Amino acid sequence: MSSSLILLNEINATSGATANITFSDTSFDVYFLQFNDVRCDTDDKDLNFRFTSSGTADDSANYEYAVYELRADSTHVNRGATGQTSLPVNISGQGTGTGEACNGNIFAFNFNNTGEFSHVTMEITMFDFVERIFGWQGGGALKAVGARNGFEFFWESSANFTSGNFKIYGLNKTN
Amino acid sequence: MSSLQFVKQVENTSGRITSLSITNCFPDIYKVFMVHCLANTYSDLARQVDVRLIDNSGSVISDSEYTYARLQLRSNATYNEVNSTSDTNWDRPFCTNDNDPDPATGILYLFNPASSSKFTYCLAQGVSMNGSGSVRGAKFVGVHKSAETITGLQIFNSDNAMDSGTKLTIFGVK
Repeated sequence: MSSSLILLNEINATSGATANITFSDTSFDVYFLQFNDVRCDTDDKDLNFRFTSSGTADDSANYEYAVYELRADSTHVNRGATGQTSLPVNISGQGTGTGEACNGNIFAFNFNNTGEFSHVTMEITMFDFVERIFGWQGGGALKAVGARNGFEFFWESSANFTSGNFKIYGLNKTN
Repeated sequence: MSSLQFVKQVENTSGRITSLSITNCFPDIYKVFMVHCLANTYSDLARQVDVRLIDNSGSVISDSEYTYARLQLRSNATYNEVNSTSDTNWDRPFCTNDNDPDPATGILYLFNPASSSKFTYCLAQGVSMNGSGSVRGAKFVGVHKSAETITGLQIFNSDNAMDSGTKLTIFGVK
């Protein structure tokens, strides 16, 4: 039996205000993005992302999300918004202290189906700037049709990456 | 080559147990691991299944270095939260092994356990029953807030409530 989780691309962000990861194989219905040890050079900054089309981030105000925020310091929160220009990975600022980082899994749907909106599910685990654990479980969409070929991650206020490993996989549907 | 690669499995074949450990299972050629847990129930002893990590010397870490946030989903009641900023284990990422034949099961992702300089993060979802046939689910995030190399993982409960067939399986995400 052949492999069903196919690594398509990997990047390591060490600097710069954006981290872009794209794929060229458009044969998959489902893509899986996994990232770990994503860190910022400035305390208390949120991490966001957009979908890319032909390598260029779509910053139209057509993003919408609904997520459940798990947190250890207080009651969990339902989060959501419409008409956004990006999707959030977290909403409490990322930290720069020892060990503080953001990690997660994102499944992407309909990126090659130009007749349907593009969707993602998100599972995030992170420490914020005062070492509070936050989790993010939910979904988002770009409410506009078109082909997508990846993701652009960026920090609030154009802060810069200091680390971050991003891998994108395709889920193979043939034997 | 597959990007989801089997690393190791342990299975309890000796009857009732209180803990099951899997060791030397996080080689540093991987940054992220996927853990499958099946905690079978001994008879009708319903006990919660908790998780601890194992350090570089093979010792189970029971210091107050675990933080987590957990949502318990309940089919017959409102959902509830269990959180801690300082605990000696992760509380029920796989839920509770319940009245036989209702095991605690789930998938847990570990981020960067092999690194000596990073905290180890986890994401998990679990499912089991509540002792009267109602489903319990868990959505779980956690951090082991000590920068050290993690070499293994232990599930544990009380009263020897896990039975033969309990197993842990580790995959590396390449």
